[in-house]
Amino acid sequence: MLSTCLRYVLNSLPVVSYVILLSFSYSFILYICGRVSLTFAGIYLVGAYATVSLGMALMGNNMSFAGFIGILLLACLLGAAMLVASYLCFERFLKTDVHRMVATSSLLVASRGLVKVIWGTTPVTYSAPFLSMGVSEIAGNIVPNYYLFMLAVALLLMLALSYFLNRTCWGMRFRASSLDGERTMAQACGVNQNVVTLMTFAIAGVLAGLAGGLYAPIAGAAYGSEGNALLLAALSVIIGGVGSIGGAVLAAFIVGIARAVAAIKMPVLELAVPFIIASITLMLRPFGLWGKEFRY
Amino acid sequence: MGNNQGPVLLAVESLRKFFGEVRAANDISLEIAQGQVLTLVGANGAGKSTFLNMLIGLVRPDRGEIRLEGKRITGLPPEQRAKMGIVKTFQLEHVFDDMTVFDNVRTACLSVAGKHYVMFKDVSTEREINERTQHILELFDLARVCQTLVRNLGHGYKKVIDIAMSFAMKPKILLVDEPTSGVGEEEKYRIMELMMNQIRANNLAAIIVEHDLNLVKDIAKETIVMHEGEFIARGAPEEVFSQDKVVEVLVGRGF
Amino acid sequence: MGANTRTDRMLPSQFDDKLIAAIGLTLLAALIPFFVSEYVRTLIQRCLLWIPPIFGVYFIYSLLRQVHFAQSIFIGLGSYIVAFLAGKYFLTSELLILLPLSLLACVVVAYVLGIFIMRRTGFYFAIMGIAVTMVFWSLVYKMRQITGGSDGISDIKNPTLLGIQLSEQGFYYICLLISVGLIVLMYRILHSPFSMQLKAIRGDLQKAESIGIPVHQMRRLAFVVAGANAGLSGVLLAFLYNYVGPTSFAWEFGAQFVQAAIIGGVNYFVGPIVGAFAFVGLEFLVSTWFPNLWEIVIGVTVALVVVTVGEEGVTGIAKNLLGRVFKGANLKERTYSDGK
Repeated sequence: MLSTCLRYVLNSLPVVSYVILLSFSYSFILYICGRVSLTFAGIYLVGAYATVSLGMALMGNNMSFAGFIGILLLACLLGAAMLVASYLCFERFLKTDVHRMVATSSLLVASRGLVKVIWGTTPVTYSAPFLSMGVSEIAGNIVPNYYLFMLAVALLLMLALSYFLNRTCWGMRFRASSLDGERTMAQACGVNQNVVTLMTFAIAGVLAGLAGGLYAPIAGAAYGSEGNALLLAALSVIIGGVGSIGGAVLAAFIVGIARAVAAIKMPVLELAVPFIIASITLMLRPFGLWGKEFRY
Repeated sequence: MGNNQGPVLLAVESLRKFFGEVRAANDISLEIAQGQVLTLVGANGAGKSTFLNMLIGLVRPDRGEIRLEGKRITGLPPEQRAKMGIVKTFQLEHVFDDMTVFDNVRTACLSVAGKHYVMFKDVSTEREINERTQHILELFDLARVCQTLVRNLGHGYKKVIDIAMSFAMKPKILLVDEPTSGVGEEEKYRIMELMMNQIRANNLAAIIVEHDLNLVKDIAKETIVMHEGEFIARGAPEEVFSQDKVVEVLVGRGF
Repeated sequence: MGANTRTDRMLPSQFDDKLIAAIGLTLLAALIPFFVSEYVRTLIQRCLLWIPPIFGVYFIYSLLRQVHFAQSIFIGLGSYIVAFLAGKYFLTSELLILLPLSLLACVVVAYVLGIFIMRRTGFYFAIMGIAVTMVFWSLVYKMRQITGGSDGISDIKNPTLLGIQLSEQGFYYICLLISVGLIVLMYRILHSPFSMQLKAIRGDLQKAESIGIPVHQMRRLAFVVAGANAGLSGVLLAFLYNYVGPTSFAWEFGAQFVQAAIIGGVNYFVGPIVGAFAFVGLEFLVSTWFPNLWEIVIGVTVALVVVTVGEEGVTGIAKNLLGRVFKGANLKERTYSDGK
């Protein structure tokens, strides 16, 4: 029984790790800048495709760990650049949340289109990093090392972000902006809002691109998978609450494990189960399990 | 201060609400009869607004009972309480900004007539509602601006509109949260007079929160002083305001 | 379009103008099949069938300022009801049975969903809408034996009305009738006490509650009204394409109605109609010449429209230009003013 549970948890690790990264990418912008932005799912898709095609082109099946990290870094940079560009070109001018939701969802569609133009609609796979890392055994279960690597990366990044936000001078400026509904008080206190917003978008882009890049060796890059990513990330934000790092991690675990269990027990309800959990959360705790009261 | 105006309309029994350490309401009990007008004074943070919000159901009390005409209303949602005749006007601007003055009041009239789900009828064909709206607008001296968008009007107007909407609800008891806050000296008296005329004309019960002690003396025979979630004094305004502890609470120590 | 209600406050001349324009446009739509090819007629038919779901989005957007991404659920529901009853398990293809049945199904589903997703506003509502469509999509996708999975269900029998087999022309007129009927109905609903109170809810939730408006119940009903529109369209769309697949539940399909509504302009009553024709026309043009670029074009177009004119859309731009050309003409009359 216990070993079955452990197997579910271990199997869900990839989904958990990429949902951690994605959902925090989303809630970070929402929390710090008070801006709804759905573009992150498009960045995720681009990150996945970029990683796969770069990996195939540069290394093929001769996998080197350093090279893979390099590619991931490139995916991060690409993600940050795209999100910052989308902020500078469009999102900067959006005044209300309704506008933001409409415009960013269209930008998400546009980034789908971009992927379609560059890579086409057939899914591509690149599993060399996943295969070359080998497996290890935990309590009788065989786990690919890559799963553990993904989780480690996600958790380390969250820890680093939490350190950044809570312990550093710059982090304090970020938090000051988040606490201030209109972002005028923080500005009046000398926090440059433009710099903070740009940095927030860049960090969110890094997270989203990395999520795509890390998950690609396992699931491949597939046109259309951004819907799944958007759904899981957004639901885990609803469950975990906006702006809480611990909430993002725990909600990702809830969503990921629930989905993994459902996928095996009742494949039909694979997506319905996270949705039901989110609905119940909304009924009982409107601001998420670990979220603070938020202005929505 | 006996309840010689008539039968008890609203009864509050040991109402309590704590926000963490802050005592917003500490076992408050109160009875109001029909036609009885009370004023409620107290420093900021004394719990006046929380008390009123608990009465209309926007804030859920930790414990205690509220009864309107003998019926228990403690657990009811705000919209049902409003229908039963307990209506509040707000301290800050709470009006429908992107509608005209006429539509603001008309919404209240529609609501009180229970026409929530009338979907296939044009609003302008609701003759009774429109006439009633017009009548209320005239009572509150708003007929001149009736087709103006509310967001283009000044703060004083918005206050009057809020009060007019509350009257449109045909209330039995009216809770008024600082009707004159943020309003100029002259307008203050005009708003107060408009409101008090209507309260008297309809023989309504009312609880009015007010900061201006001179106004308080004018409008009601009875006043309650609130401090840290408790009623510390009750009686005729002159009498109450001469008590030491009241002065201390309202004006501050060392005065 | 479609304004045959008697209103006291409208000036007679204005009223007549609108009515004449509406009747003229309807007549034009009724005569068009005699002059164009079958392909163009199908395209126009599609525009007509897109109008009701876009009106649903418009209804939620203009009155409640919420973005309704979940219209595709109701299109999908209506379509799959047709696919099952008139296709796979053939029972009937009678429109007089299928339309009310789909309406009923959509009303029930919308009401139940409304309990969950209309509870919160803002991005919670939008995201839950997307989530619901994804959930429905995955259900349909995975129940292969019943729904045919990604292959969908084709081979739907031709629709009948009172037992009479409808010709393609006849079906066009049914679509026109339903579409115009729903537009007239939406016009009435938008000017009803119901809508006025919805607008009040958007204006100030606390005040609305304190003047006795049952906020949650009314929001749920607004969701039902939007869904019912889409459900009726779904039935006819299934007959039009003769194919139903899980893509009618996809989130990007639901987003298309929002995009069309935005392109049309959410401040004007004619916005959804303009939006439907503009969106379908644009899609036709782009996919004829640059089929791969469609998603980029529509995505960037909508983003640009929102950034530059906000809720005004094409209708707003056109009115503005016309107003400049005919300086005397009073074209400033709006159905709803923008919120902020």
